[in-house]
Amino acid sequence: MAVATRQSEKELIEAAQQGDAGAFGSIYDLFADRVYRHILYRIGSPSDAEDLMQQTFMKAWQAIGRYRISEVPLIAWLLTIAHNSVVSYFRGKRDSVPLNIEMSPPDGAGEPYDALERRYDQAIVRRAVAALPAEQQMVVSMHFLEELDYTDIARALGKTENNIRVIAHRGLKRMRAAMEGRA
Amino acid sequence: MSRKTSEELTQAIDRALHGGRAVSDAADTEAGKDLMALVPIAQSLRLDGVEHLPEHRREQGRQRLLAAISQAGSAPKPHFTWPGWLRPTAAGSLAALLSGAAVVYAAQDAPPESVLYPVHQVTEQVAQVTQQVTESLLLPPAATPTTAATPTTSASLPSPSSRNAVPTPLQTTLPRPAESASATGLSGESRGRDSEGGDKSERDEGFGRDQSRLSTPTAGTTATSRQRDREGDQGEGRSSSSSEPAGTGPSDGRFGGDSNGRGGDDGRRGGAAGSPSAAGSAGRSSQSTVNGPRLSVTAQATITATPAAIPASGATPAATATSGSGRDSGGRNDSLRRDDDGQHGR
Repeated sequence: MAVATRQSEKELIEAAQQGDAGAFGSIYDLFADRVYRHILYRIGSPSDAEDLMQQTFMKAWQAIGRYRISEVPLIAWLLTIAHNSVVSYFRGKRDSVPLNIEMSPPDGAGEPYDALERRYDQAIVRRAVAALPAEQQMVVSMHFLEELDYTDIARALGKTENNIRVIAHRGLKRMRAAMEGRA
Repeated sequence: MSRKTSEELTQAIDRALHGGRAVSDAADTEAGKDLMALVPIAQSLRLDGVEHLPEHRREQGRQRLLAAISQAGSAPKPHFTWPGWLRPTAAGSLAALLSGAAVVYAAQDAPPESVLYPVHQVTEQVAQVTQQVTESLLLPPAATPTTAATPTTSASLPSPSSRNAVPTPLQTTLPRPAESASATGLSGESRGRDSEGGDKSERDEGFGRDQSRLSTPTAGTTATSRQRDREGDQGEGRSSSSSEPAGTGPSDGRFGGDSNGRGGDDGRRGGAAGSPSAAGSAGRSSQSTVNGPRLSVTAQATITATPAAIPASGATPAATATSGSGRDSGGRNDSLRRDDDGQHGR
C-alpha cells in the first residue's frame, strides 16, 4: 500500500513537473492537511494558517521543477517551504505571537484533568517552540511533530545528519530551559 | 556538548519515544540525566491537539490554488541542474585558480633565496612571452617585416668585443641594398647610387639629406610603426650630421648607414644606398627579427657605437677602409651621442 502510494506520488510529481495542474491539485489533496496542521501548530491562528498553506503550495508549484524525487521526501520539501512562510509571517508580526488557540483534546484523552493538564502543557510547549531560533524550530518540529527521519531533514536542509541531531538536541535543551523558567 | 553526545541522546530519545529502552536505565549517568529531562519535552511535542483542516476548507483551498495556477499561466519549467560531479570539479578548479593567483602574487617580490623565487622567474618569463605575443598580434600585418629583408640580428650584430673587428658578419647578414631598397620601396634611385658606389660623399650627402627629409620610412621597412615614428624623427637629424663626415667606403658606408641607421645613412655604399630610409630599413629589419622594438634599440646602439670605436683602434681595415672614416669621426661621435640620448630617451 505504502509502495503504491509512493509510486502514485512519484507519478503525480512527475506530471506536475511537466505542468499538469491537476496532478498538483492531487498533491495538494494528499498533503494539505499535514501542512496546515504543521503551520497551525506553529502560529496558532487557523485563518492565517490556511493562508500560509495556500502560499506554501503556490510556492511549491512555482518551484516544483527544482524538486528532485530521489533526494528528499515531498513532505519534507513542502514543510521546508512552509517553515520559510512561517518565518516570514513572524517577521511581519514581530510583536504578536498568538499561541493562545484552544486545543482540542487528543484522541483517547482520559479524565478532564488529564485533558486540561495536556492543554496547559501544550501551550507552554508551543511557546517554547516559538521561542526557538528558526533553525532549531524547524528541526524540532519536523522531527518530533512530523516524525521525519533525521536523514530526510538533513537532505531537505542541506546539512549532515549529525548536524541535524546536534541542532535537535540544542533545541530540546533550550525548550527545557524555557519551560523550567516559566514553571 | 559533543556531537557524539548529541547523537547518542537523540537516538536514546527516539528509542524512548518509540517504546524502546526505558529512560530510567541510564538515569545514573550524566547523559542519562539529560535524557531524563529531555524525553518528556520531546514527548510533549505532538500534533495530537491540533485541529485538522476541515474538508470543505480543503476543497475551497484546492479551487483557489488551481485558479491561482491557471492565472499565473505558465507551467513550471524544468530547471537546469548541475550534474553532481561538476560542482566539486568547478569548486576545485576555482580553488586551484585562486591559490595559484595567491602564490604568484606572493612571489612578486620573492628574493632569490626564497622558495617562491622559481615562481617569480617563471612568472616573469611568461610575462615576457605574453608581452611579445601581444605586441606581435597588435601590429598591423603590413608592418611586419618580411623574412627576406630581415637578417637575424643576433647573428649579425657584432659583439662589443668584436666591434673593431672586421664587420664581415654584419655585411653578410644585413640585407643587401637591393633588398633593402626594395623593402623600403625606394627604387632604382638608391639602387643606382649603390651601384655607383664610390666616395661621392657630397652627392651622397645631399642625397642622404634629401632622402632623410623627403622620404619617410615605409611600412615595409619597419618593424613597428612605433619604431618608424621614433626613428623617422631621429633619422632626419642624423642624416644631416652624418652627411658632414659623409661615410665613404662601402664598409664604412654600411657602418655609417647603421650608425645613422635611423636616417643618417648616407654613407652606405658610398652613401647612396644609405638613403635614410634604406639604411633605416637595414637597421630596423635586423631589429625586427629579434624580439620587437625594445631589443632593436639595443641593436641599433651597438651598431652605432661601432664606427665611433673605429678611429680609436684605427686599424680595422674594413671599417676604416675609406677616407671617410676619418671624416666620419665628428659625425659619428655626434651620432653616437645622439643615439645614446635617444636610448636614454627611451
